[in-house]
Formats: sequence, structure tokens, C-alpha cells
Amino acid sequence: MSGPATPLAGKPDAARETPLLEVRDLSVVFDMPEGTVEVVDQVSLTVSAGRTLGLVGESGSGKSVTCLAALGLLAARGRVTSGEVMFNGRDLLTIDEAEMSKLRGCEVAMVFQDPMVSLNPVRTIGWQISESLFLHQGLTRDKAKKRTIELLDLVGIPNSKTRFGEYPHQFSGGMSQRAMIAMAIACEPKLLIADEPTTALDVTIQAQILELLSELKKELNMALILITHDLGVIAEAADDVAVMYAGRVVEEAPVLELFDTPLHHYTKGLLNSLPRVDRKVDRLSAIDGTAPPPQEFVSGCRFEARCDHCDDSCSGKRPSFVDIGTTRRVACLHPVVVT
Amino acid sequence: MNKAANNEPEILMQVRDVVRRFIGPRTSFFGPRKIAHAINGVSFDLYAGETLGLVGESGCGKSTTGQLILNLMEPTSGSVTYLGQEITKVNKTEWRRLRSEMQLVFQNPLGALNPRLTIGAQIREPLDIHEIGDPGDRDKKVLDMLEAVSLPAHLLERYPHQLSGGQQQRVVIARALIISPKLVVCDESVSALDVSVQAQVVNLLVDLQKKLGLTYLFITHDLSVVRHISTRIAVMYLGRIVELADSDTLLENPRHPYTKALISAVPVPDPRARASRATITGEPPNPFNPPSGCSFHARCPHADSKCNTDLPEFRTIGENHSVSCHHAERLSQSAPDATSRSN
Repeated sequence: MSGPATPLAGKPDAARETPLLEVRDLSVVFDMPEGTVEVVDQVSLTVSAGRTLGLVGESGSGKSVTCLAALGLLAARGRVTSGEVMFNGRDLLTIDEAEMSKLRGCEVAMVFQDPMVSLNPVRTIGWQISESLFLHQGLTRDKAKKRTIELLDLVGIPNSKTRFGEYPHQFSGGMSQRAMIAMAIACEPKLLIADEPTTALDVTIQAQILELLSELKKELNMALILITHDLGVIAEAADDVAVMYAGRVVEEAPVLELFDTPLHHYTKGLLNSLPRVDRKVDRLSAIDGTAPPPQEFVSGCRFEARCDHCDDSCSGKRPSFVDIGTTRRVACLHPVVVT
Repeated sequence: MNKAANNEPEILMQVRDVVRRFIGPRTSFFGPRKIAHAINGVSFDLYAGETLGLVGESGCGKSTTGQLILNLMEPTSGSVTYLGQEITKVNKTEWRRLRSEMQLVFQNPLGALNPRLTIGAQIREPLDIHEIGDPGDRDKKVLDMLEAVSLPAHLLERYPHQLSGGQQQRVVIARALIISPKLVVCDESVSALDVSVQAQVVNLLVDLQKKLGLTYLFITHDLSVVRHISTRIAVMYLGRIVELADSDTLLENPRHPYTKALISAVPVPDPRARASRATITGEPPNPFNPPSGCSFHARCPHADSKCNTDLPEFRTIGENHSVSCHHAERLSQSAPDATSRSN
């Protein structure tokens, strides 16, 4: 296999020398009635303390499944077939469920898209946030309550003392997401995975939540993985970006370089197809066709069918990663030529 | 498009002081019921051939406005006229004819399509219902329409679940346009699509408008899409239009603090633009318990005592530019980005 096994060599930043989370060649299959379908294909990612990795891709590109698999949260039909997930020196794929439970919600926490679905409707917000404090830190009732109120203040929920005793239906969408974030950071995790945390929210609230996440990241020196389909959110909040397409990472770069000089034709096409609020374009340059569903994933380059720059060599074998400089890499045989 | 250059643009639809009330739960067992004004005095004109973008956050009444225009919901008061005819008062036969001139394209195409009908049958259905054309010619029309929305002919025999999201939305658009409507209300029509497909559908809508001379009311929360597609944009907040202008004017020289805040909250796909972000605090108020005066005053950095008590009038401040803010003059270009920055 021509796997992208080696993580980025010679990173400039000292903090990035020892990544907190390192996913190597992770592959995930789903057992479907029509057979086994590989939805994540040898994905490698790294994220270090204090940095935000933006994981961007269209629906079905495997960005959420990658993170769920890393935390052992796959649905019953899903299986990890290869790879390792090194977190703080331990391989999360080999530790047992009891150990994993201790880790999840404590050292690693996750925030999901729809806060109204993630919250338990019959428990108070305060109870739900305190729960992880009871479980992971063994705090007493009084101490847990005190800490929960501090957390509510920290995530910017006004009247935290009253709000402690309220139920999810009394919270607006933005406030629920703040409560979810409070729950996630209750044990001061080293890594926070936010899966489309602002997609269900209005833009003004989205701006507030993104700001909150970046403040908390600094304050707690967390590593943050931000999963999103929105390149605007990536530009706003990420330090490094991994672009996923059809189950594979196709390009990795620091955020400025990715937006300045996208190297993969998919990344470039995606950026060009965005309507923008800050400028007027006559016509959007759409990418023809659609992303293939997992059943139709090919072994060669999966973007070939929609790419204007492909040739015969593209369909043969998986394009391996080419390192460009020290900080970025791209999986394309004919990357965009930077002038 | 420059409205002033044309002698007098044809008004397709006129909406005047429309109010739509919803009645909520009782405050207590014997107490009165709560009342929310989802739409609270909305007035605008829709010119033939234009695209009017209607933007705002969830709950601001933009979808309700779309439904009122199509007479899917009756206004509590106010009038909606289509080419001079009051649409709530026309009789059934006449309404049936008028309705074929107005179509609606929703957000979720799979929900809008019948799972048990083939694509061909669904696109043909409006022709059968409105008895348009010779029954023998209808299949030919369906094929032409399919080509117009760039779908291959072999999809005719497929079912909706066999199509991708982008293809499904094209089918919905084909079905809406086959009876040659004049007005199409697009309610978040491209919001559920992935970016690369969204661009295809937006381009398709623009092309079809040029080809067929359609008028769009484009309802969305996405300012980037609306800028791209609209001639004019109306911004709604808590049941009222707070600003209405040509789209470039509105986005480059917004005069209502809410419009300003909304624009600056949109994440721009440019990491270098990060520093220019200005956010507003707070959330939209509860429509069952609206604030006094200007409904935006609690979140507004420019609010003073007048804003707390007096409802600002929706007034014209420039060519094709109306705004409802007491301080619109102060918010002109001389004070760019005066919205508050948290931190």
C-alpha cells in the first residue's frame, strides 16, 4: 500500500514536534447489507496542544467518522481495519473499553452539531454538566455545583445560578451549545473535538461560539479539532487544515497557505465555488459532478472524474502524498502549479 | 440592474402592512393566551424579473413572509396583491389559475418529492393538474425541462432516493418551472447542498431566470449566496424589514446596525480577514415578549433612550434604500464598522 504513513517532517513550531494526537493510516469500514464499504481510507492527522486542526470536507467525506473511530464511538456496523491513534503516547485503538470510558469526557471531549439532540431533556442543565465532574473527578455534590456554576460563567451563560436548575427546553440554541461546551470542558480536556459545532446556529451566534472556542482553547491550552463543511469557519478559526474528499485526506496545510495557494484541484475548486459576502463575482465556478458515495470509491484518485487536470496515470493507483516545503503536503499527481 | 434607468418597472407583487399573528399557550390556567407577531407590518414591492433576497436569522419571519405571498397562509391584516389582484380575495377558480404562475422551491428536496413516483411522473404532474398543453406533448415537455436543468434523460424512470441531493433539487426546480410560472419563491433552496453542488444549483437558478424571465423571492439565512443572486436585499429582524436596498448598496454601505452586525458575522473564507470581525452580543428576542421601541435596541451598540421607547419608522434614506433606524444617518460611510466588538 502506498500509504501516507509518515507524518509531516521537520515542523517549524516547537509545540508541533510532539503532537498530542496522532492518527496514522486509519481505515474504517462499514458492514452494509450489500457488502463491506470502506468509508475512511488511510487517514493520517496530527494535532498539538494549543492548536486548532480544521477538518474540512463535504458530506460523506469521512471527517466525522474519522474522529468517532479515533474515540471508539463507531456504530455497531463500523470497524477500524488498520491504523493507530496515538494520544499522549497511548494507542487508543488497543486500550480496553473501561480505560477508554475514563479517557472520554475527561482527557478528550466532544461537542456535536445539534445541542438540542445531545442534551437530555429530562435532566437539568446543571445536573448534566455536574455528571462528568462526579464521574471523572469524584467531586461532592456541593463542590460539583460550585464548579458547574463557574463553568457556566466561563462559557458566557448569564444568570448562571438560575440557569443551573433549568431544563434544555428553556435554553435557546446558542445557549444550549454553550452548555454543551461547558460540559465538554468540565474536566479540562487536553483535546476537544468539535463536530460542526456552529452549523445549526445563526451567523451572529456562530460568531460568538467560534470566539468562545478559541478563547477556551487558549485558556486551557487545549488541542482543538474543528470538523466543518464551511471554509469560512475554517478561515476564521483553524491553524492547520486537512481537506478530506471521499474518505481520504487530499491536502494538508497551515491555514494561510491553504487559502493563498491551494495545491489540490479539489481544494482550489472548492474555494472558487464559494459565494462570498465580501466581493461580487459574476458567476460561481462550480465543480462539475458530485462526490462519489462510498460504494463507488475507486482505488485511484477519487477526484479524477471531476478534475480538469487528470490524465491516464490518475486512475491507476492512489496518488501518494508529496511534501511541499516543510509544512504542507498534497495527494495529487498534478498539483496546482504555484506561480 | 438599475431600477431608475428603466422608465417604470412592472410591479409583480405588492405587499402592504402585512401582519401575521400567532397565538401561543396560556400564561396560566385562566390567564390570557400569549400572542406573537411573526410578521409585524411588512411592506415591499416585488418587481418583475428581479431577485429579491430576504435574509434574517431563524424566527425572524422570512419563511412566513414567503408563505403569505403564496397565500398558503392568510395574513391577520394587510394586503398582498399580485398584478393588482388581492390574492386573499380571489375566488377558487381564479386562484387556481393564478397559483400556476407562482411556485415554491423548499430546502429539503427529498421531503418535497414523492418517494413513490418516478422523476418523470413528478415533473409531469403539474402539467396534468393545471391541464396545460396536449396530453401527448407533455412527455416531450418533461424531456425539454429535464435538459434545461441539466439532468440526463435516463433519470426519468428513476425514483427520488436513487438521485444525489443536487440532482433531487434540480428535479424540484424542474417541476416548479414546467408550468412556466412568473414568480418562484425559493425558501432556503440551496442551503442543504454541499458547496460544490450549491454553486451548480445557484448558477442554474441564475441561468433559468435569464432564459425564462422569472422573478425570484430568495429566502435564506446565507448572506454570501444572497449577495451573489439578488438584485435587491431585504433584511428582516423580529417580524419587520429593517433595511431594504440594492444588494451592492446594502452590503457595502449598510445603514442599520443589525445589517452591519449580520454582515460582519459571516465567516469570510480568507484567514487574513479575521481581524476585521465584529460580533454582537445577545440573541434575538422572544417574539412572544418583544422589547419596546426598536426591537434591536437591546443588542445595538448605538441605542439611546429614544430607541428604547420609539419604534423607528421605515423610511427612505437614499435611492432604493430604506431603513428603520433612528440613527441611520450617523451610521453612514463616515463611521465604518462602528458596531461593538466584544473584547
